Amino acid sequence: MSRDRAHMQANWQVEDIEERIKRILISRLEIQPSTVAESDSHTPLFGRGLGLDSVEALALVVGIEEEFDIEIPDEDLTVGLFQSIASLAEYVSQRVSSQTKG
Amino acid sequence: MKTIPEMFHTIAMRNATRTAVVDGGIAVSYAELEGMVSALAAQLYDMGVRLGDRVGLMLRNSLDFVVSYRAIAALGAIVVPLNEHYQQTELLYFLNACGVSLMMTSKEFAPLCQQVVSSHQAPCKLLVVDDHRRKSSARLESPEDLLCEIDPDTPLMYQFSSGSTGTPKKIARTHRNLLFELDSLVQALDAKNTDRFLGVAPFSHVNGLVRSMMASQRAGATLYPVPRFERRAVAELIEKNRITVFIAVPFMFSILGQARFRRQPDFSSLRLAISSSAPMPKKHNQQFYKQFGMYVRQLYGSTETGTISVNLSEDIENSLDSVGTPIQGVEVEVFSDDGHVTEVEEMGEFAVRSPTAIKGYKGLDELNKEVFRNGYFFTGDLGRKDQNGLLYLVGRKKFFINKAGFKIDPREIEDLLEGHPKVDEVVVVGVPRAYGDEKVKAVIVANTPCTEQEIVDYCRGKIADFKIPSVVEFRDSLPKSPTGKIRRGMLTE
Repeated sequence: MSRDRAHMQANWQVEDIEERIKRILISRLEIQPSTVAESDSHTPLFGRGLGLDSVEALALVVGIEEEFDIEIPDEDLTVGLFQSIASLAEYVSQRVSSQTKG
Repeated sequence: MKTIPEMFHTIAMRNATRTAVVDGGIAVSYAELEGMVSALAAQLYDMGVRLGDRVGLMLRNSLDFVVSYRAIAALGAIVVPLNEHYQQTELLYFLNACGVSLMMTSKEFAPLCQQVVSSHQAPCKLLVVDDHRRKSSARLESPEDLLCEIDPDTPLMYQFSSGSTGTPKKIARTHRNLLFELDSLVQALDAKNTDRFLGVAPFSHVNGLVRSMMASQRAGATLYPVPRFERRAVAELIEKNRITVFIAVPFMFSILGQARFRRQPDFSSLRLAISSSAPMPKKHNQQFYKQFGMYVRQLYGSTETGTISVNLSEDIENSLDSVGTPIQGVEVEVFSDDGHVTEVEEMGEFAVRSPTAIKGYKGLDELNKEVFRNGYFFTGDLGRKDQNGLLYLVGRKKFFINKAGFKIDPREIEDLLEGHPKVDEVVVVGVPRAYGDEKVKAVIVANTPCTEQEIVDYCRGKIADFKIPSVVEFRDSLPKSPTGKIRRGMLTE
């Protein structure tokens, strides 16, 4: 039971993180709100989908660091990280918990 | 001092014991740098490089870049700087257009350059400089032995302008042009041999090359080349080495201004942060100020004219969007469509009169009549002049996409994509983004179902990554005017 709750908690956190990432896309990167609204967890960040490029990806990382008070090392900035909003949110979630623990 | 190699040599002798370049863990004095330049020049001479030969240079920002550039110039050969993002077709275009007989590169790009050299129609040699450096650093000769008589009005380097129309236009920048530009620039920036320049904008591009690499050497200052932009590494380098002059492109300042640091980096050594190649968004400039306590100043230039103006206004806070006033020897006038000089604050086209400007494009007479008139070069940039003479760039007539300072001709990408079997019609446009520049968007009418991935994969390896569309949109048809002209403006949203 408690494990389920923990699982739900983790899920909720990732969804919350996704929403906060979407807000950064709108406010900081000035991506059209309608484009962001049409996207879901699996929408790719690069190319079709949100159409980010490498400079915007870096800007998003800077925004995430501020929003979640975490540090993302340059060596973690791989194409895989930006595969989708979900993959990025998952990474952020791990980073938040590891830094909280650390 | 009549030529660039003569200038480099004279400044080096005056500053022999001072540090010229610090590349990672390697620091070399001007005297040591001279030794490295003459050793490499001797090697190039042995390979057959002579006065007027064209040598391609594809290197990231590094000590090797400085040494190679100077060695080529020392022999009176012409440097052809090549963007490190270029792929085979692009490199072949530039090799052919300039008649390059030697390519110099690093191990990183050696396999690509080897392919290019092998498929080049004319004979072209390849020199991998980081291999070479280890082998032959022992060979030293006096640079005077190699210096030949160079006519100051012959080209020092070839650059390419995206210009207003058509394929990239070759611009020959002479020794005299560059000497004048560097003198004016160093004077405007009040650069001294005690300055420490950060070289993070690519040296293959005019901004990093002339304003960081060459300007630092002209001033007898110390250059810190950085091969790629990484926010924390750059911030640390500025703080640790007490950098005084930081010339880069807008997104680098934007990212630093927005970045979060565990400990606030100390940028108090910086006396100038200068942005060029694309507009610096005001909001990001204010963030940079908040973070580091100084504003970024904007500089304006073009390949045809060299540096035009820089904003060194004391009232920077109220003129953040201005590109400042012309540097010494350069005049800028704003012309209306009917050819009159505009009133203060009235919009028009910037025209530049400068001793460093080219007189025309070779073999493009029609275009020359349009853009080189009454001693002016009509830049195609639109803007205004205020009551203090400060220039404000507002837009452009020219037709290209400005991606993080790299100018891209949309037709080059359209021509490539038209060759894709599933593409019926394609138009490529620049979509404005928050960082003051644009991103590349392709709008495609496909004849059979096609995915964005297929389009991107098709481009990969054929053109530089920065030209590959980051947005691909498929439509049933393209918006056209009654005469059949594509309405590009409707596609930029």
